[in-house]
Amino acid sequence: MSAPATLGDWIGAAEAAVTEVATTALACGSVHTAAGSERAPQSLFGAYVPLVAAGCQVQIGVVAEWEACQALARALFGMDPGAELEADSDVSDALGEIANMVAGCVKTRMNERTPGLNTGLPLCVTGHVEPSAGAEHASVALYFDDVLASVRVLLSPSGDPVSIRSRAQARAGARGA
Amino acid sequence: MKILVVDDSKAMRMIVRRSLRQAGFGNCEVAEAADGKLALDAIRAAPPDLVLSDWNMPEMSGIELLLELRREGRDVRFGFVTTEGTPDMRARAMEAGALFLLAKPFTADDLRDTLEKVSL
Repeated sequence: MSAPATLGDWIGAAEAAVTEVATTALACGSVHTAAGSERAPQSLFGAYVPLVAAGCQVQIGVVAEWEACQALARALFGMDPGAELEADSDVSDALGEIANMVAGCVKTRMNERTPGLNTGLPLCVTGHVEPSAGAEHASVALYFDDVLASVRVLLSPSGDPVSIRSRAQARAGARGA
Repeated sequence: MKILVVDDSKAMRMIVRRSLRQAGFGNCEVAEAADGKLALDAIRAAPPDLVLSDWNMPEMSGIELLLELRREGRDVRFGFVTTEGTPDMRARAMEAGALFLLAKPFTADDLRDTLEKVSL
């Protein structure tokens, strides 16, 4: 039996997954890692999707500044870069779907290492997100063409639930949860 | 041909519609439902030729929808368009009577190839 997946395993899978989603669903020409952590945006909007198995709880998030989220939503919808989105809820819906696709790709990549993973529904949040006590977390900042966003992983090695606590209120439009 | 797209994400329903057009199914009549329960009502009222359904949805999941349809003796053609691409999920889908499981993210070519394989 192999050792439990580490935070490094999860963030590696998440980076590969977000690159796959960006180059297919978002039709990005290039995806590359941001040069330094100082480029990571501070005021963020994003969507998180839980992956849960026996003894393992993970949240996979895709987060960015609101304007970058709008750009990602336009890319997902196949809209021109300057096109007007109808409503904020379209951005929430799009980020939820992007996070959902990334989590699905992570699940496929981690399936052998962590069998029995179940995918939850996306939750959109605004502001700085703090994982619950005991949870490990990591993020990678990436450029999707010229749009900066981060993929985040919150991991509970003990299997306790990873709750997401935001310093700002959840933005309307989260699906399901 | 009438296709019912079932997904709780408006974004995803829009993407599936667009992909159907790009895949050469622009002449099809496309209807939408936002979860499995709404889809079940729509199918009972007017069965489509094909259901394209997400897996994870509130109220009633895609697999619950498929199992209920088969329990009621409805043999509507059914495929999943979902992030659930692991071998065990594919096996569950096929065992329940799905024609295919197309994993997200996908391209219009992937969708066309999938639908052509099931003679649509």
